[in-house]
Amino acid sequence: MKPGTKVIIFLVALFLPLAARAVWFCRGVYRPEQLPQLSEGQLALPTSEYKIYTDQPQAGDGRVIIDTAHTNILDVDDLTPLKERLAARSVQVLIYDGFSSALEDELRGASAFVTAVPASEFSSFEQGELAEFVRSGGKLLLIADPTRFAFSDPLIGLPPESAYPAINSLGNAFGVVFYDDYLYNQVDNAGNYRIVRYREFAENISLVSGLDSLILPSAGSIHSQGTALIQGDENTRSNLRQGAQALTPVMLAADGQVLALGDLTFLTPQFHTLADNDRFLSNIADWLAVDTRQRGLRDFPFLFKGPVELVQLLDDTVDPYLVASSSPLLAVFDQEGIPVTLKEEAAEGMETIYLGTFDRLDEVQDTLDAAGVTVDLPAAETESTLEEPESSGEVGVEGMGTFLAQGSGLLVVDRSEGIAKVIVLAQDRDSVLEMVGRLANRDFIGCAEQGEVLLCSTGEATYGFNSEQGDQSGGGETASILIISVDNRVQGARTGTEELGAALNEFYQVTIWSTSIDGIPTSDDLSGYDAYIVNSGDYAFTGEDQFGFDGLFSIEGPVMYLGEQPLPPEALAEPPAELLDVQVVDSAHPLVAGFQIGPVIDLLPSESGVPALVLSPGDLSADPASETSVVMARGPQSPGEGSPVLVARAEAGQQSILALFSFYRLPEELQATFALNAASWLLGE
Amino acid sequence: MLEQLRDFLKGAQTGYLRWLGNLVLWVVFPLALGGVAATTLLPRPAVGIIRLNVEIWSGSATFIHQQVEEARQDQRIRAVVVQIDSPGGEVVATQNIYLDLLELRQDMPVVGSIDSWAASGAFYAAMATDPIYARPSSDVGNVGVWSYFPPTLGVDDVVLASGPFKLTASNYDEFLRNLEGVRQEFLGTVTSARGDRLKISPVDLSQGLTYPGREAVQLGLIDAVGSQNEAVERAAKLARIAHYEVIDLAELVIEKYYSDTAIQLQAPSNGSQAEGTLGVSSADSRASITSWYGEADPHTGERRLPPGLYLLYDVRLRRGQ
Repeated sequence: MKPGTKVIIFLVALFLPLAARAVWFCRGVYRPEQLPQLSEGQLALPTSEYKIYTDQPQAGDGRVIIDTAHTNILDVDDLTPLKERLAARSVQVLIYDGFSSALEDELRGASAFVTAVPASEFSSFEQGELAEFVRSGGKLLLIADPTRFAFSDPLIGLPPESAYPAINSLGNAFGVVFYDDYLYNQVDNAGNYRIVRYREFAENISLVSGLDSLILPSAGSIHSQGTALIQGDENTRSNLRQGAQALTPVMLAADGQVLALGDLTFLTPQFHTLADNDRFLSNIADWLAVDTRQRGLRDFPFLFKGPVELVQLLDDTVDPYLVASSSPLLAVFDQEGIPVTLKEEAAEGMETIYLGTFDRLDEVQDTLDAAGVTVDLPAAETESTLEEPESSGEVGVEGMGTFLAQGSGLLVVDRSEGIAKVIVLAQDRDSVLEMVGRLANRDFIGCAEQGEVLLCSTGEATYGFNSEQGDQSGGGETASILIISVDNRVQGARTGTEELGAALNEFYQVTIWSTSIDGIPTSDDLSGYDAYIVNSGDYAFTGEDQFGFDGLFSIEGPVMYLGEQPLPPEALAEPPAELLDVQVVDSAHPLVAGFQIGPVIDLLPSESGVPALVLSPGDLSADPASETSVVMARGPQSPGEGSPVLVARAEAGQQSILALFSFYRLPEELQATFALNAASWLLGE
Repeated sequence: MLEQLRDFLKGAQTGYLRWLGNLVLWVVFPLALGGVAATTLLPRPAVGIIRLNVEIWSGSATFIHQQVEEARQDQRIRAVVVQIDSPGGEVVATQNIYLDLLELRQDMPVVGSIDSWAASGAFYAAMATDPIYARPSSDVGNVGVWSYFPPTLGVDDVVLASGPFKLTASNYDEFLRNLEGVRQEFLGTVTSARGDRLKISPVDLSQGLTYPGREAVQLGLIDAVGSQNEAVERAAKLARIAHYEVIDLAELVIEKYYSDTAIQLQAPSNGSQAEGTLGVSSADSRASITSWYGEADPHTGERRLPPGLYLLYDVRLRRGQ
């Protein structure tokens, strides 16, 4: 074999395993494909959308209340831009915290109420007050935000809770539903799917006028039968309601009085300068700044907007007594910063309060005619003066009927000139003063209302309570009365001390002692008062009381024991029994003066059901030195009809009263009268 | 005659021996030499398994990088299957893995095989593999990125920095831009990787949903529903190899780098972690790593992550202190 052949064989043999292995294992050569490449130039990154807007504020006359009483989830500066816009419009911004003042008091002067992201629900009372507020033309701004949660305590593992039930507790009352979702748009947004740009706005509505685009960083959707001010495009979606279209984060509801915003964040610093957000903020401030409320007497003194003139309907001179006695009225005006001037005659175009009696009506006759009020006085009485009212006659109110002028007071509001004028009329000076007091205190309990006319009874001042003696406003020391509220007994529900104190507080210096809070009063506690009322309401007497309350039965001074069981039942011959009605048996007695309800008085239901003591004639002292009068007795529907329930006793110049019923069970229209009559009689006035 | 026969036999014997000698010298020896050389030069091919079955952060990205390097250096490895079972993690770590795998594809096929899930950053990493297999109910997708809002700092009379955002390293607008940039880059990665196979719009993909494997196939997010064996076979086919073996690269890396120590891929300050396993066994012990990155809240068990951008699907999150 040739050497060359051998080498070839060698090489073949050498490479054969390699070839065999290659054939065995390999089926080809891997060739990488074109690998994906991403050019950074393809990215379209968001650019800044901040926009400068110059606010052009117009002075408004509103008064905006911002709610912080509902655990509102607000950071310090969240509402600062809105507050600043309102301040620029001369709008007074007040905070309602739920502690400093009552909601109804805040709302009297308010033109708008703002609640942002509340976490605690509105009570039915608050809903009612705000509904009435909106009905009277008040504006309500409701703001929710899906990024704010009600409560979260990760330390104990509690997840965040939705704040939406709270805002809906108020919104639903106006047909507004805030959905607990958030809106997003993956196509038209400001750098992120949930920072949605909106370009569709309602037409011809000032709140959204001048807007081209809004950017809402975190908005939830809202449903209402009102007007959708802003609407998302076809790519705007809800994270919860997939498929829902025409989603809106801003609604105007309740005939344009309620503005619902599904986003708070866009109002906050930084975000309010995005796109046209700032202009929208100004529009909202403009909307809030204008007071559109139609206020009534219950909103006194806020039914007046500017300086007020106080005019007495007199012939010649101003009655200084009336002026002095109008101080509560003036104080109210002073407190709210509304200037008041006393004028002989009303000026044109000025807001005015007229004070006068029924016999001086020339200046306000046109207004009374327009309001449907007629005053018919006997001709012989037309010369009576304010100092000595002697007139009687009838007052007619269209839609209500005719009333005796004696004991009636009128409050009439006139808005015919676009400003408010209030006419206060009554039979005599004291009655006028009482009506002034009612107006200043907005105390219209028992008054009948017909449109802009309010008819109130001034009976208790005329017939019962001796106003000349009892009214201390003209000088002298105010009598002091201690009401001991025996409210620590068993089975009872109410003493009615609150109503009793309120009725007396206007004329007396009233101190309330609660035995459940203050304990049993000592003899020192009981000294120094002109009169005492031991008021046990519908609480039942117990054996323990007799020991603990011995002091109460030996009070030295004028005293009234008031309640279903003010005394130990064992001391009486008859067992306690249900008391349904009472009847006046001595209508001439001062204690029932002014009781115009009739001889039989149906009592309001007892809240506790505790039976009242039944007093038999034998239980009454036959001491000839004392003068005892049975003023009222059990009524025909009550067991033991005819047995005394109201007994007045005078002994050695000291009066005492035993009233075997709960004060709160008296009809409302009699409560104040009875309280004042009793106090007046006890004090010998 | 006898002499002649002896001479003949002697001559024949000499010829036989010479022939035999020639056979050994020119055939057997080169064959043996060739066999040894072939075994050395052309080892039995293998498909390597790279395991991405932990959350993605710098530690786990390093572990993947080591597996990639092992695949590249090991002559036997002719293709790789990336076994994915991860919710994703940090952005940069994810991009490291993606780029490592993409670079490896220059040398050999890299096939993806999704187990339970390839969410967010894990799906991003999967885009470096082609084709991609998943089980019918694997969770696939969750495209997107998230982060915590940067803090807004005012002027401080105690600390003075050289720039307004020196202390926060970001602000609201930059944060948005950064987030949106990563989102778009993620989307771009998916669309360029999947090309015409993708049957879902970028808008829908940006919603961040995960899709079951069977639906992900229809949407073009992955290529097929199948087992890991099918992925291995596909990788071998792409590499044009036969009679291959399967090598667990994670195990090789563990033996090479971590044989004497437990694998520590977690953040050093972890107080409470949920441990998982790599699914491989080393010679010494079953190596374990944590799948829990960041700290756990001692009260709620929620995870606290440090500030940063995340390609991560995890609802048990809270901002780190």
